[in-house]
Amino acid sequence: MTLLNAKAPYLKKEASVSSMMRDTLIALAFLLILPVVRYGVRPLVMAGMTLLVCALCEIAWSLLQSRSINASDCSSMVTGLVIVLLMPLNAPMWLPCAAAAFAILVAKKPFGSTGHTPFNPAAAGVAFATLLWPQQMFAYFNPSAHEALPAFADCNVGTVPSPAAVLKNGLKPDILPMDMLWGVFAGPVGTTGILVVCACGLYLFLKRTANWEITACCLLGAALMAALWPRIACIPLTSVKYELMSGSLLFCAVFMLTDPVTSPRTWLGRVIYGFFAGVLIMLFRRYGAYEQGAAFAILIANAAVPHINSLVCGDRRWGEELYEE
Amino acid sequence: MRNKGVLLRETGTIFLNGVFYKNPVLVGALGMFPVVFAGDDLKNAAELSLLYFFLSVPLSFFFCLVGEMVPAWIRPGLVLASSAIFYLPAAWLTDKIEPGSIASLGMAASLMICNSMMISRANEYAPTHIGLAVAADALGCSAGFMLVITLTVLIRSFWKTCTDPAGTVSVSLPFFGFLILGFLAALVQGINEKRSQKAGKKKVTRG
Amino acid sequence: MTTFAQMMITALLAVTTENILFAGGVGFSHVLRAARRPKTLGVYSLFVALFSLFSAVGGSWISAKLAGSVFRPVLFPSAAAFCAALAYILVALLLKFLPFPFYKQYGQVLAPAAINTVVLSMPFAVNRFSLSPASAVGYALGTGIAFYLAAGFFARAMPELKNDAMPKAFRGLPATLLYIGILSMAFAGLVGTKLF
Repeated sequence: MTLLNAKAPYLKKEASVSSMMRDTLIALAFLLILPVVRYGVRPLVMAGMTLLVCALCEIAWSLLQSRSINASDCSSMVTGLVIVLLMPLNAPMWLPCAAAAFAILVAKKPFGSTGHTPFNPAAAGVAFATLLWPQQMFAYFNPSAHEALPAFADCNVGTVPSPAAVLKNGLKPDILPMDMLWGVFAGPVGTTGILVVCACGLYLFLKRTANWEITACCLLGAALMAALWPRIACIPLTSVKYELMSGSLLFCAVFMLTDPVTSPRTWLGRVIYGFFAGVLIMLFRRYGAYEQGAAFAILIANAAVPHINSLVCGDRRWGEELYEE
Repeated sequence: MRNKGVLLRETGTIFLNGVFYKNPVLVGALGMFPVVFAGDDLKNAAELSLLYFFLSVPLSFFFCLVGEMVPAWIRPGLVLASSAIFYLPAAWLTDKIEPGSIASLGMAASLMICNSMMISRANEYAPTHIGLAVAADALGCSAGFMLVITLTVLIRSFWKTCTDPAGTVSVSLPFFGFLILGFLAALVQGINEKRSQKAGKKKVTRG
Repeated sequence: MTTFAQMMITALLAVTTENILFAGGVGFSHVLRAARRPKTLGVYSLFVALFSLFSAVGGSWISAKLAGSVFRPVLFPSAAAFCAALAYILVALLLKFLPFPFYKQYGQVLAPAAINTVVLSMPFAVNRFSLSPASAVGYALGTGIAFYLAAGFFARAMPELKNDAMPKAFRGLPATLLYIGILSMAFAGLVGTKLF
């Protein structure tokens, strides 16, 4: 019997990389509908510009390497869209573009592109933008103010602290539960619509594009942390509610942690990985320098994946044949 | 006469290897801390380069002279102890040229004592090579270190002028330095790859 | 109990928010070299912890002696490195003449561990060396664990950073440096922009 260590992403036969990426793109596109209905075309323009930058980076890299461009590979589009959805809608247009360029040119292409990236490129892009431009990353407009947002120009609107920032200061966010579910609160453009994120997640799990166990274990880990060590003075259930529904935790658990390239190969590995990531996200929220640390936590969790794989599989010879006969 | 010519050419190659083709920072991953930590200001870069030069040249020469007399197992300890002693005049000289530099460099200057690039050259290269080769290597490595730290400073400065002033603090963090080093290392590796391809082609045509 | 808690907190800080390897970028040359020999990683880290303890105790003593000197910024690191060199020679001598073949097996990691300890302890030594005995033990333990974890991460990741799909210019060290950069970025999210 010969069991080989195949290269990521580890897909079943009927699923191809392009079909998986297409499914993810559809799910991500759904997240744009609510912001477009509420705030006009700005989310679409932002997404369009970021996707254009992603495509340009892909083309530029291919030209530099004298390689042909793979038109069927939509992974860069997924990266670009994830980045846009993790940005405030009132952010300057160059911000998601810069994060996307970093993701493609630094975190993806040098490592050998799709299937070989050790880190989730979108997480790296968002982490980079957070470190370099924290003021723009965490300045959210007030969705209840009903201010018009320009389609292209920079927004000069008043900003309010997001629930994640309020929690970071040890206070309870003053938001109605229904508003939290429908995303009527300050936060990154694609992460506030909790119900839509859940629906998109369900779609991806049913299509088997994403592994549900990673998301479930991540949320379980985060919920346990929130219940056992609440950041605000309240009953555990309230703490869990606010922690899970604020910030980008849910979005990251559905769209970023489930990236098949950077997640473990086995069921048990994915369970450990998801739980570890959930705990890490909560630790970053509590002790981190910024109100949202999911992107940073994902990078560390990604780095732990080879270790989780070896722990679960017991393969000491990574990249070589596991068993030979 | 011919031997002298060959010796000079080889010395030149050793120097050039230290500066670029086998740059210890970009090819050997040695002595990266001063570059990523303190490589965000031209003044720092100049002071650290001077300190490295004043420390590595005498240390390498010393071990070129006495290295082979010392048992191999004791040598690393002796290199570290000698580096600690040579650091005193090197720091004094650097401070004399650039007053206040050692105090302002702080930890980056102190860590020069155990700079892996310098320690490995003194421990492994100097004892087994002739004086001229050791001199060329020490000078080449000093120049190579200066080149890398200066390039890092220039890239960081360029980024700082292009970007929002609020984000400039993060540009000085080590992570940004590592990213710059990654791309510089890729540049050197790419050039070395092209050179070896060219050399291979030449050999084939000659053959 | 308080002493134990203090020790554990210092160890935890050395691994997390005061992780000078990832957040500070200190000592990566040694981490990468150690990662290439995963089999000796445990002993290497043990030596790092042991030498860190020596340097923490020795450093406190030297620091107290040089407290009033104007030459402290120059003399202190030099004296600390000198002590580490002496500690290395003594330990090597001791292990070399032990009856069992420990030195033969692990002697090659002894010197890098001693040098690495100077590298890892310098930030604390230069900036704020006032550790209590419990904190010194915790710091040494944390440094050893942080080193083991960092080198362990790379021991697993390095073979993957040489794959055929990568552009040739990035295979090996360049990709490793980018990997370190991105991981260091993640730790910067924990520590923020303040270092040491």
